[in-house]
Amino acid sequence: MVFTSISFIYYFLPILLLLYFISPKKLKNIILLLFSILFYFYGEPKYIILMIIEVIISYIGGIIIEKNQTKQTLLLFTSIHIILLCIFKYLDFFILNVNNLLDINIKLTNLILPIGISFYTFQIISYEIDIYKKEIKPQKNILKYTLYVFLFPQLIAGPIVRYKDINKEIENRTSTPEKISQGIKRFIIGLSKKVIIANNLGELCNILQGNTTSTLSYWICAISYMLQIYFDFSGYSDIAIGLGKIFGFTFLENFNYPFISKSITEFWRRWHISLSTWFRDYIYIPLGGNKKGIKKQIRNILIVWTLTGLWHGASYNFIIWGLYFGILLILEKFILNKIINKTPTIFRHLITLFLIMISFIIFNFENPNIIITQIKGLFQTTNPYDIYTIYYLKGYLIYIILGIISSTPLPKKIYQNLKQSKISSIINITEPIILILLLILVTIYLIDSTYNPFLYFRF
Amino acid sequence: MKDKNQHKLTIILFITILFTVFIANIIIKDKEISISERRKLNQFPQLNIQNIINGKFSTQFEKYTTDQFIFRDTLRKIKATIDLKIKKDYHNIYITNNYLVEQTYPLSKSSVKNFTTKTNEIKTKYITNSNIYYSIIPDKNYYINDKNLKLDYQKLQNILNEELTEIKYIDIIPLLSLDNYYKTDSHWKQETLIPIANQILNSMNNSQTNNYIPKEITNFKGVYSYQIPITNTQDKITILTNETIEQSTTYNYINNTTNPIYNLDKINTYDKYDIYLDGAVPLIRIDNPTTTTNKELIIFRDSFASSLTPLLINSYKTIYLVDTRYISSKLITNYINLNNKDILFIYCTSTINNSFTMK
Repeated sequence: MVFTSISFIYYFLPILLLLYFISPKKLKNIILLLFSILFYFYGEPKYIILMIIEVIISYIGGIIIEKNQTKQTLLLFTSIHIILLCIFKYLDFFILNVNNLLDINIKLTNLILPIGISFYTFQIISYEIDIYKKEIKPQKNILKYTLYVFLFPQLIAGPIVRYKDINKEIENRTSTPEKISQGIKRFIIGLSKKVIIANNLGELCNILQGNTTSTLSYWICAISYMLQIYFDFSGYSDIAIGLGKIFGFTFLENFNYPFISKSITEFWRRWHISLSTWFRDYIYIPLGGNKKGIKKQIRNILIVWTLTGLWHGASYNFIIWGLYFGILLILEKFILNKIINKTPTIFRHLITLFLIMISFIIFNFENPNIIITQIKGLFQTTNPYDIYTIYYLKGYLIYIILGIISSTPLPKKIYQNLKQSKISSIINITEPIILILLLILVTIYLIDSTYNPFLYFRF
Repeated sequence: MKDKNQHKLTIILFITILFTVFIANIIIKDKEISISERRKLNQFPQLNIQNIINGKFSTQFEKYTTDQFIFRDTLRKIKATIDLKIKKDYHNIYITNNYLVEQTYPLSKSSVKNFTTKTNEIKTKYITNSNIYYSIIPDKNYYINDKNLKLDYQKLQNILNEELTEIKYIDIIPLLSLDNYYKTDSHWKQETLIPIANQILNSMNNSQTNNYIPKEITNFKGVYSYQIPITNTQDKITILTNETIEQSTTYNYINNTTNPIYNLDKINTYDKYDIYLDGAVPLIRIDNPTTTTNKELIIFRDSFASSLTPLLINSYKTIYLVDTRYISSKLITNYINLNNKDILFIYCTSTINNSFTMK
């Protein structure tokens, strides 16, 4: 099931809210678990079996790892999940490369990627490693453990929640009006970011890409796509965090205004935080991190960033995307650090934004020729602009401006200042109304996205 | 207002909206069709294990929930208002001086080439000893001087001129203006087409006809007024008639029916433009019993020809209308002999620019 759908907002959610809040405390986890399973089953009816098997294996694995604290046991259990992830996500990519390399023709498996597998695999692995590191005790109650993996707000696209961050809340949590209202606010803001900003910027990218080749169009495409990815992904995280809050869970933040970064290092402290910290804690540090000399540190950075790229998808552009960041981080750390420190802040911002924008061009296109065309296009002088791009730029400018402003802390600062000003009581009453208007606006956009007219009647 | 009350108000408003919509969606009876979108609406999907396992149920349920959402049309009206303010068009249709206009853009060279290939194929494969002509009707976006996106009409014409060799071009573009088109529909108004019809008749060596009596038939809200549901603009359908037209009939090859030239029963249907020659029909024949000539005309056409053709009847004994969007050109000779006839290919630019539906 998708959060940004009528079926979720106006069918699934009201039924769940009703049952959850009228049921006694001891039934709340069961209801949440059943609805989480339904949530996954609705979108992925076949592969739910795979997920259930992985949950059972890791549940048993947790208990065995605690009893038998050896590296071999840990490796045995974590490798089961990694192998399953590799089969579903990377096997065809691997076969394709072998076929190309050896000029043979091994048949592709054409397996469909189970929804959320990259996220829940990482959650399960973090659970098993944390038990091995004695940071947590395994969950003995299989239903509670299943709820940890299946918990619907974070199930499909993160954030990657670690067991140690929510185990207490699985056992015991409270829902206060304050928490619920904050959750609602975050949920609606997330929906708006995705449906109003990200979807419209995506529409603009689709209109321009392939239809025009002016310099302006390449810039608009690159900027809109970068904003689209941010609002799409951070909107999803907001929805997950908001829903978690409504049901009494506190998920860690996943984005922290990444586009205000002054360096790539800072960007990755602000972008998809749950993923970058996962790689730091479970790959980079175990490999030795920065403790075993510069050579090994560079090796470790390159390994982590190749894997980060590969995690995003089984395709070379993602590997290049990861390595691009790995190399930039190495340059920043070891070569350019002094120059960067002397560079005026405004230039650091602009250079960082430009490098991020280039990274998302790599992220966007599988075909390396298109990537090169798109990057070259930014600097071409022959065809600076065209009426097609200008027409659509005018139409979508408001979404670009809205995107740029909302990707900075400015709206939050204005809101906080108003909250502390004399008109705070007006803010308090208008805020809920604005939120509901936003929800209605999201509904309008969702309904209209399914508008499907026919020129001739088709009854 | 204190923070505590703010939290309560947020929760109350949120819950109220969610549950009101949820209950209303369940209580309110599902609709069969959407007039504004001109299609059947999705119904509640069949609930069985097979449908659930293969994912059909969830796919259909998603469509059902959006199709049957309460106030769907009202919400669309709001979105249309927002889009027209922000983007200046709503799903590619814009409003200017009460005209609802579709932006056909950009020029699809491959589609134009496809059109010329198909036309040439018909010419070489099936037509012998005939006088062949073609004409193009610009979509009404052509006649608007606003800063909207437009097809490169010159390029389109150039391609047609280069590719359609040995077919005589009849230029009607200078004779047309925005006044020839309905405000709320894509089509042109028959009552303004006498000069156009005469230009075509002249070019095909026929005499002109001017003795028509206009008859106002009905108010008309065209296809765009449904697509942009916020305008009250209406058009009128007027027919031009005379004794020849009144005595002539149409024969529909698909359902074997004979009807008058203007099928006034169509006044009560959603698409009133269908009163002209029965609307979108793959193959029809017009028989004119009043004439002494034996000349026959075959028109390869889209829906624009439906209102134009009655004004050509006087010069022909029989006129065949072939819409190759609905019938394959391979089948035509099963019904019509294409030798020693006048042949006219006449299409709107938007059909030429989107010709892959042609068979």
